[in-house]
Amino acid sequence: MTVQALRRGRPEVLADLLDRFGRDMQAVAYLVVRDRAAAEDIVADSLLAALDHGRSLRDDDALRPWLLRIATNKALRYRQRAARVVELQVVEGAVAQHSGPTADDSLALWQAVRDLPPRMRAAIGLRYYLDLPVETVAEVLQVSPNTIKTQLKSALAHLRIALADEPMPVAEVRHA
Amino acid sequence: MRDLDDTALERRLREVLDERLGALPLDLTAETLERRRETRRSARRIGRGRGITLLAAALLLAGGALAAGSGLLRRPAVVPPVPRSSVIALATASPDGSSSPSESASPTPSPIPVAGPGGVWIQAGSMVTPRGDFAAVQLRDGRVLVMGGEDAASGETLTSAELYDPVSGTWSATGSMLKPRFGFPPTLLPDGRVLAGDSREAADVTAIGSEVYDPESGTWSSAGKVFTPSRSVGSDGFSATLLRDGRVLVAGISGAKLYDPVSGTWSATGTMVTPRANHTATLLRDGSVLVAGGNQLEGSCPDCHPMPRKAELYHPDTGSWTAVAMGTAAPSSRFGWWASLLRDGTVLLIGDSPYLFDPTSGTWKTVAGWPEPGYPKALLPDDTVLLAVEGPSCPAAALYDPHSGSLTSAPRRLRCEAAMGGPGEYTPLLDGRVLLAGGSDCIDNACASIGEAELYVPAGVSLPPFSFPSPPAVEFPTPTPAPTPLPPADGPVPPHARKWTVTVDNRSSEPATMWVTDGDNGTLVGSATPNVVPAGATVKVTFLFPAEGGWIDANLRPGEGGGLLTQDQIGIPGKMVITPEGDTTWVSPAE
Repeated sequence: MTVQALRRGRPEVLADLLDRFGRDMQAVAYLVVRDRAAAEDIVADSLLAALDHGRSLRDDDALRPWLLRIATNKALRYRQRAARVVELQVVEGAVAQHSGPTADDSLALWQAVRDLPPRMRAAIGLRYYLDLPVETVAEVLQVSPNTIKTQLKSALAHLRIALADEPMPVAEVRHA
Repeated sequence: MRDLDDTALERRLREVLDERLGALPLDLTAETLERRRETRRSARRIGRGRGITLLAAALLLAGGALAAGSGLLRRPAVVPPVPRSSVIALATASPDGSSSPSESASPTPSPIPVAGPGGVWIQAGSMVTPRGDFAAVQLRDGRVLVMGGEDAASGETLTSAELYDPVSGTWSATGSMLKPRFGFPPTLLPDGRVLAGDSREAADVTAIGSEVYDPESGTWSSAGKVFTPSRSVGSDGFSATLLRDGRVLVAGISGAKLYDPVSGTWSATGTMVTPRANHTATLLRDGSVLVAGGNQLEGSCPDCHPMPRKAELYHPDTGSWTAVAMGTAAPSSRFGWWASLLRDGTVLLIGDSPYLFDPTSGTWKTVAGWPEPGYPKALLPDDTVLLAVEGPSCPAAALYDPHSGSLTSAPRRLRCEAAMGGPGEYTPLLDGRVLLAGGSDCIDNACASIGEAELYVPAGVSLPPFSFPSPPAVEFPTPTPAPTPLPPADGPVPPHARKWTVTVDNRSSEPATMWVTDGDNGTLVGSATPNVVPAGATVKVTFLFPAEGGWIDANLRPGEGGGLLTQDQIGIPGKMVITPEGDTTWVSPAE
């Protein structure tokens, strides 16, 4: 029903899309743009864009990757446009005192993920948060599965290296 | 944590992502979305006609080779506009009809240029009214009637119509339709008129009507009511087929009707075995019609409209329908079906993969070689299928031979629509060429219809003796931000640089540019020497990284792709490979 309604551009489908896919789209968008409000905007814009272009959707199985692709593309474009402004922000959850090895590790890993390039962050989110197969990640990001494998391998290597650089900073230079 | 193996690191990464992303609140509601939708629609209406975007510049650039306003119009034997990144091979037609390609215009006197191997795309002017999702049909005099469609900026359905003249290469307005007929396949009647009709949501209309276009007067007149939808199901997806006796069969969920162009009346004609929508309908050599694919738009499961497992035949002499078993060709996709009659009388049916139906034996055969995702667009005179193949950027064009299952590449289209844009409509012409016109492009949230058109000229078909001025600028409803300036290919040599020499194997057909960026914003922070690796070449490239770090990007087209390797990974064994598809990968010696 959802795909059919989407193909016909029926606006009532938006609520269903938001309910079923909104959080997934938000997660990937947030990983790319690192801003919660911007990520929500991207989810909204992506769903409205999907409504405009639902006619191009071919089958039910393509719906989720298609929506994720729209959200990811919009997030990457947002990132590119917003890259001019640089500001210093305290990293959410970062504390000067390390409360224990597990918390430190978790924060360090999260910080390292945030420091990856945007496309790599998107790949990480799609693969390790949404548990999408490599082939689907490749479909969403419109590159080959081999490229995704390489990027994931490279990302893991980078995370491992970054984790060796503790102690954690309490702030990061953030590109808003 | 640095001692974790990959599996453990991946597990820990999943936990952290669950913890951080799973806790993100999502304040967006359906009501907010609806408000934004309304706001956007209003803004588009207000903003129409304002602003010219960078896309216009791109289009002008693409059309630059056309020598705007030059004296080339109607001059015979003119070399057509050359698409960027393409080579047009011209051939001189020989008396026996064969052709021999060459890389330049033939030196022989007054040759008729024909498209070389793979064919060629040439510009075909611009529509009077840019639009997408329209219907089109070629008239008896060769002109193409384009009708209805949608304005991408406002989302409004159009009633206007226009004509494309493939001889002069010009577009001109003609009479508007009485109502916005949205997608009912137009059918050329034997007397030269065109029948078109509704295909709207049942909830939107109380009756599905039709009208007829008269090319002599350029006007439309009502052709009467076709159906009165009795069920609250979608009535989208009718087929319309011109029968051998000149009548038109229209079939869909709401029933099957025949239009008699002589009496101008509609009459019921049997009931489909499985009433369906979004199906194909193909006139066979014996005069019957093969209906296949589609979906039923009803059933106990509203979320999964059942797919008809069988095809069926319509017999015009008796007005009856009979089921046809499909065996292994039974559909597994509800949408996107395409079918056409081949020269040997078999039917090529393409759903998720291609099948051949032999009407004489009533059997189906699977055909190999179909690309995924590939979208059939037009059947060419030699039985090959022109199709669009999704790629990492612009969709590529390819030719598919259903008899051998072989696939060959065709030149890229001239226009590359944005990721969210509509692809335009393909209309096969009787001389073998294919008209591709309209569509839409979107930048951020602003969509605009495209008016430009192009012609695909298959190999061996004569090129038209005209050229076109540059297409007009495309107007978007709201101003769009300036493009992000691209950094120079060869960047600065940073102080305290770290040097790394890497083998780059460019297996693609385009030169690849090397960058050292900050990996996040695309800002250039280092250098690569040489910074361009020619197509098909293997070159050692020396990268200089700044002390604060950087990423290697290697792209065929700047702005695509992300960081590949960091300076932390300097010295890892292997080489960088640009694949034929344009992806950048790192290949370790073990691979």
